[in-house]
Amino acid sequence: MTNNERLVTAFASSLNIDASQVVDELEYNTIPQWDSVAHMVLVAALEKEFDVMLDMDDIIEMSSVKIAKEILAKHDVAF
Amino acid sequence: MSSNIRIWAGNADFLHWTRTTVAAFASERIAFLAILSQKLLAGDYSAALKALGFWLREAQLRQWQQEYANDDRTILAPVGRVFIVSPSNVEGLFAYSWALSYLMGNQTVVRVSEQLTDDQQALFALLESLDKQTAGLSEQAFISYDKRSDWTQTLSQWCQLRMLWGSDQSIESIRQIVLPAQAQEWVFPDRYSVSVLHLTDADIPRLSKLSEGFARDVSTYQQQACASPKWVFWYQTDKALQQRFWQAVNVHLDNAFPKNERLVASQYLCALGGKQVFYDNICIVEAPRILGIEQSLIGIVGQSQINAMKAIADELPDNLQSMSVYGLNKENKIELACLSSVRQFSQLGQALNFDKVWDGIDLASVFSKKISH
Amino acid sequence: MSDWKSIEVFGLAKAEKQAWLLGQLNRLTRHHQAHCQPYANLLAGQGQQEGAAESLNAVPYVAARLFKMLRLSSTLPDNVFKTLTSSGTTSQVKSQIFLDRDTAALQSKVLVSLLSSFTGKARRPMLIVDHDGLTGDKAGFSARGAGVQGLSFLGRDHTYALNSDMTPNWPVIDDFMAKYANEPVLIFGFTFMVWQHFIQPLIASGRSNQLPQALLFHSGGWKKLQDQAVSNDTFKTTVRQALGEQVAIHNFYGMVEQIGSVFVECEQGHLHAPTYADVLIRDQETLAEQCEGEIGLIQVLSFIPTSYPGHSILTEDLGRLLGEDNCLCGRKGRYFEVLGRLPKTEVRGCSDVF
Repeated sequence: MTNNERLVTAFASSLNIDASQVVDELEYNTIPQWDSVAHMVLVAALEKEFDVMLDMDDIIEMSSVKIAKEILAKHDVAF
Repeated sequence: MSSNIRIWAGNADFLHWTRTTVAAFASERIAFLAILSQKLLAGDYSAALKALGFWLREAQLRQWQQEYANDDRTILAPVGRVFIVSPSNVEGLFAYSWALSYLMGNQTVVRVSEQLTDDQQALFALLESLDKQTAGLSEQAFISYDKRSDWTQTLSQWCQLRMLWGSDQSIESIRQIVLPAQAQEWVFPDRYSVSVLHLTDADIPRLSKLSEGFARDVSTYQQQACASPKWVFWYQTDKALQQRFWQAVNVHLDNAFPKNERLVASQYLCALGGKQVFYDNICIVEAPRILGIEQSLIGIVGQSQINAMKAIADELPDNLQSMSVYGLNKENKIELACLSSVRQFSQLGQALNFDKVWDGIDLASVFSKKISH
Repeated sequence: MSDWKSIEVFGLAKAEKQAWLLGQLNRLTRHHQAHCQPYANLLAGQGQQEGAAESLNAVPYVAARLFKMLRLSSTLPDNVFKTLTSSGTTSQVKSQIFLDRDTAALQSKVLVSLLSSFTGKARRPMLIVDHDGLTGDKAGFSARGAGVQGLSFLGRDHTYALNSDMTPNWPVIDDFMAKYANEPVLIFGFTFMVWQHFIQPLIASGRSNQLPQALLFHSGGWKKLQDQAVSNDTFKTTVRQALGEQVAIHNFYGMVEQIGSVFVECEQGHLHAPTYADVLIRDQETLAEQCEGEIGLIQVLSFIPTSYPGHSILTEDLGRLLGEDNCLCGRKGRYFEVLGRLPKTEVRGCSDVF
């Protein structure tokens, strides 16, 4: 699996949405499935998948799929 | 003798546990907490329990492990036998302090109130099922008992560290019970929390996000957690901007607080001399200094205007816990930390997030010994 | 028409009543503003007009719970003649109501005038369903004691029906029943105590129909009886089975914060506001005045409280306005029903196991 596929899978399973919905433009709090509770599940899933530890600022800033990729990129996960 | 004890999870035989060789950050304990975290995040649990699961996620545990790694000068070892008394109403709290005690390798007895909440029942059921699979709780116990029984006495004699969470009154009452000279004690009594905000026109694009965070801090637990902000100090902030902030906060608080509670709270603070400056889903009352600290008010935030940090510090109570802040620089914070009793700073929206450094105390250190060699 | 004594208890129709009561309430608002600093602060802090309400619903109100949180008095400490406290369990914080001589006297007079419109002017032999020793301590006067004492003016030969352990004092009761079997008597007690400690034992003991001309006043809330699934109708039927078919039974609604102006149930089963007092129903969420038939928080108005700012109080009781000036019983004024208490908010904070 590519890193992008891994990311899409993590998003889809954490938020309980279809993989096709996981696009760069998808933003936090714009769909009912991505609320503050699901956000915690998502962060834990991404950390596990990519074996990284996100700091608090990253977690708060991670308000779209696109930004999630940028944040992961800082942890040497290339997309 | 001590009867009417109830055991909710773990092993009831705590008075006969012998010393073991579990180390701080033992791999089986990390594994147990990591599974607990996964189950909480994946299962059908409340937001509060999911927050606990999030906090205990493996990446976090590993990070702490690195932070406290043994080096060539110190060895980290468990304290031994830990007795935790937790408050009933913030249900998750006992789990956070227990998890750190567990992670540091201790034997732990946690006392919770006799009336379990739904969340507590769900958590204990999960702990029990994990214990069956892994025996991970063979030296842990979650119990409750009648306060008139002598169990507090017995466990105070048993433990090497006693940790009390609760109101001033209950902590003082437990402190009547002798703790042996060789045991340590940590207490987490009633606290009061405030917010210090410094907004400028440049912050207008961020208002929506900031207000959402502030709204979350006050609405969780109906503003009754120690860390929920009850008073805002506006530092050199334009009044029109303050109103915009409250309007933005207001949007997030539809039906958050019962109307009658807001009315009572507002009338109370006004009777003490405050002036109501905003009244909708949340009520804002202005006064030159903090009012009504002795009452549990719901759905109200007081505010004062200040131009210098020194002026805030004069108004802050000794039992000050959290300051959720925005727009302060490091010098401001250092000044406040020295001038007041503040025990933690947080960002807006993070005031209630439990951290292993709580009330200014590093719980991971408290639950362990740092042995130099 | 400013003297209350010249006004018929249930005689004023809407326009006249509001004109009189509004004048009294505005006078009291100004009085408390001048004599009670926290009250003046409260009005100023909320930006309210001083004593110039143009209608009853514009009279500022104080949340009932404030009497538990603050010392609200409009009289000097030296003038405090009696301090009333709400009943309630020992663990709860109680309301404190400060009475000076004038307010205490006015309360008693109004209460007597009000209730005697039901009992008639003649003082009846009075059976009190409680134990002796409630009214002794003047400093810490409970609502129960105050209620008993307030009503005692209406009666004579006051007889306490219960022992201090709440069991019926049979010799005393039997004596009273024998003596007054053929006379109009007055019985007073708190609703639950009348039911549990008087009517039930009476039926169990086989006594019946021994006070056929009695009038029973009872008050204090239905919560405990609702728990036993006892309705007002069941209550009345059972009391009449025990005491006599023609027994008159009047529940009344009142509170320690406004003793004197109570709301008595008429023959139609409706609680009535007397001329000296009134009720408004307010929406739980908006606090706007509700129309007839809509449920909301009960606000009570009274011209009596001078020594404390309690002339307009928003209670935590829920009720519904049923009508005004047109009850079939013939009494003028508003009539309503009480539907229980506002559910308590669950406070979840850093409180604890103990």
